[in-house]
Parts: sequence; C-alpha cells; structure tokens
Amino acid sequence: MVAQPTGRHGPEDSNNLATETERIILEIESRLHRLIETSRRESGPAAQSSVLAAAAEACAARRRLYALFGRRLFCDPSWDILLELFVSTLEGRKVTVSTACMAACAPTTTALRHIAYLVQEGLVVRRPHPADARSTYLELTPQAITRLTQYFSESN
Amino acid sequence: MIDLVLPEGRLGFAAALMEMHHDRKQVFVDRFGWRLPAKGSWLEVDQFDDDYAIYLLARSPEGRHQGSVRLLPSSRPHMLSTLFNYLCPAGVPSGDDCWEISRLVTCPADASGTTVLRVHRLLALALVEFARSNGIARYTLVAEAHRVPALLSVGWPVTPLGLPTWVDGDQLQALQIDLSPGTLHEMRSRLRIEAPVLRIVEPIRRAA
Repeated sequence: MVAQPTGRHGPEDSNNLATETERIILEIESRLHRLIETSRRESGPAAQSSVLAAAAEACAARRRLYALFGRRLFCDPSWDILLELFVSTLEGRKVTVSTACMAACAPTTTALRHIAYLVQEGLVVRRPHPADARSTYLELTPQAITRLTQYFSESN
Repeated sequence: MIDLVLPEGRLGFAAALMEMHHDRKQVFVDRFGWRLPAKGSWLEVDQFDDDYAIYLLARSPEGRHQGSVRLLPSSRPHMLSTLFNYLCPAGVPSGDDCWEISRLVTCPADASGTTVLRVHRLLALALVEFARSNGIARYTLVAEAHRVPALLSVGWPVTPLGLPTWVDGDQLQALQIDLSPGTLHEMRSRLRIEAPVLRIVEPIRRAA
C-alpha cells in the first residue's frame, strides 16, 4: 500500500510503516555486516588492529587534552562521541546513550544535542536495548564506519 | 538504575515525578514537620523546582518512584545562597563546578531498611557519575546533623562549611562533598557496585 500524500494515517498505514522500517533496519544491518566482513578480508587483521590502535590513541589524546587544558577550550562532543562509538564498534562493545554522554566530556544536555545531530546527519542510529526498554543503544552507520576507517587509515 | 531527569526530559518521567513530589510531601511536611509552603497541598513543590532543577530518580521495575534527589546549579539562586547562607560563615561556595544537592527522599512505603540503603547508595553513585560527565568537582548541601554519619558512610569526603545550628527545632549544617577523579572508583569498590548506575534517556521529541 502506498502512503497517502495527505490526511491522517490509519492503523493499517502505521503497521505498514513499522514493517517497512523493520525491513530497512534489517537491510542496513546486513549491509553493515557485509561491509565489516569485506573490510576485514581486504585489509586483514593487521590493518584492522592498526586502525583500532590509531582510534584508541585519538581517544586517549582527547583525555590528555582535557586533563591538561580543562574541558571548555577544546570541547568537541560530536567527535568524542564518534570516537567512542568507533572504538567500541571495532572492539565489539555496545554503547548506550549514557555511555556516549559520559564519553562526550560535555554537559549532558549538550551531549544529547550532539547525539541528535549525529543521528540527523546519518552517522549514528538508535537501537532499542533488548533488556531495558528505557535504554537505547547507539550504533555507527555503515557510512560513518567507512569514513572513520578511511580517516584512521590515512592518518597511520 | 538511576534515571537522570533533565528539565527538557521531564515529560518522559511525569508519573514518577508526581510520585516524587507526593512522597516529598509525606516525608518532609507530614512526617518531619518542616514548615514548607506545601502544607495544604498533596504535593511538595518549592521555588527551586524550576526550569534549572535536575533530578536523579530511582524507580522500581514497574516505574514507581523509590527515591530521588534534586540538583541545582550554584551559579543561580539555590537553597544555600538564598535560605541558609548564615550556615556558611566563610561564604557560600559557588561556580560552574559546584552544584547543590537537596530533597533527598525515599518512598515512605518502602519501610525496609535494605531497600532504603540500596536506593541511597545508588543515588550517591549516580551523583558521582553525573558529576564526572558534567565537570562538577563539589556538591554542597544542608543536612540535619544526625544525617551526617549516613552521608559519610557512602565513602565520599564530606567537609563542614559551618557549625551545626538550631533552626526550627532541627540542628542543620552546611556541608561540601569534594569529588576527585578517584572518588567514583573508591566508592564503587566500597559499595561493591562496579557497573555504572546512571541511565540517560533522550528527551521525548515532538514532531515539528
């Protein structure tokens, strides 16, 4: 059924929309896995671990910067959140909104705003927490993973 | 888990916040006899429950209020600066790194000491986690002198800002909790709760 351009959506439209959204999510997940597998095959474990090492070092460098100069001057919540998500993805860890806010080194309200920007920019997606309905996971989109991998490969 | 309730996210916690104000009325006005403006109401709400107040909320698995605490930035008028400044002879601490804790309450129906103790411990850890990600180095608070040992028991360093003073039949004291980068680790070991306890939920977004 094609969604009507005007008027209210009935329950049937909502169901179709939910099914369609679910299909798109599954499609994105499967593409993401293919992308990660391809990247592993093509780059090999050595390249993969060097990207991880470079990203982890970037995270550590941010912490050193905050420790030495304070949080205000070099505050960059979007980058801190992306770094946390990238390192966690490579290490196979899941990141909740709470963890991302902790990583942001900024007031929580600011961190939440940056998460919303990252989602809006298509770099991050929200996922329901299977064990906690009140919590949300954040994941990088395939596009974000590709760009960050490129960034840290080129910086090696 | 302890939920962080930011001003922009209160709608998502409306029911639990109502229960919190109700429990505050039962505990502070009905049980402790504090002279608060809420005397004739079924809720206790004061002038500091404003657009800047942040709450940490302990909820049961069903979502009911089990305990909570209110946080106010010291850069704005808060309880110590407006109502109790005489408790700080050397001046009321303030700054972006200093927030005030007030209205620590647990649900009066949870009479069991174990539940109350657990809620207090989780709230204390959540306060330290919130401080760490928000650049907070110290909390200030006004407490009855008899509650100070309980405050010390969670393992954070507490410094008096003045002597205990009789106010309306209670001995009140202004206190400061100093937080260092190692405080969270020390408290987690002491309380044997290693995993993070603070849960941050994104505010409900309304369609444009």
